[in-house]
Amino acid sequence: MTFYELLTHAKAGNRDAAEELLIMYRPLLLKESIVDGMLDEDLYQELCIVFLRCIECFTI
Amino acid sequence: MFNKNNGSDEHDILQNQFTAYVKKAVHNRRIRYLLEQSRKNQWENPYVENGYMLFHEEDRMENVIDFEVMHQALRLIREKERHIVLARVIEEKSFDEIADELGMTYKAVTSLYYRVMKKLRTYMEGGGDNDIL
Repeated sequence: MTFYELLTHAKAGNRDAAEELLIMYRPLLLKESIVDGMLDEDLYQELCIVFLRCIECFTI
Repeated sequence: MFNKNNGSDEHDILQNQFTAYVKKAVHNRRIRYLLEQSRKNQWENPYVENGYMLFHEEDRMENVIDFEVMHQALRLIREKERHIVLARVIEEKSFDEIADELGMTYKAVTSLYYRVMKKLRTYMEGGGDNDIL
């Protein structure tokens, strides 16, 4: 599956596709969730929400 | 087979655009989260000396923004790096003292110190947009 297909499926509300994208971008989210050298789980969760919203809002 | 994204075909371009979009959104959310957190801490510890008071009224806003960026930058560097910077700048210790404390050589401490300062400077010049690592 290409990235384009994955993204359009995720935008259409396919949870599996969204999950796959989330796994793909997980390292970025984890990196941004580190505060004072430690993983902040609340921040990680917030960033996951932001990511899912990004999928919805991004225009192809 | 896994193909490296070199930005040549349209799917790669789309992916790169999406990545940039996500990166920016996530970064902004992170900054907002940290600001909220520090504001919350201020309310919870009202007796902690407020760093903002150190600034003059006229250039206060600009300094507050710099202050936040610096705060942010200090949070992003490693524990040891932060220790060296703070010991050197705030506690005004000599490199020898810091080296003794951390069990490092004088040379290692100085080179790490100047490397971190360079990192902080590039980070602050970008107003928090440059990557710190």
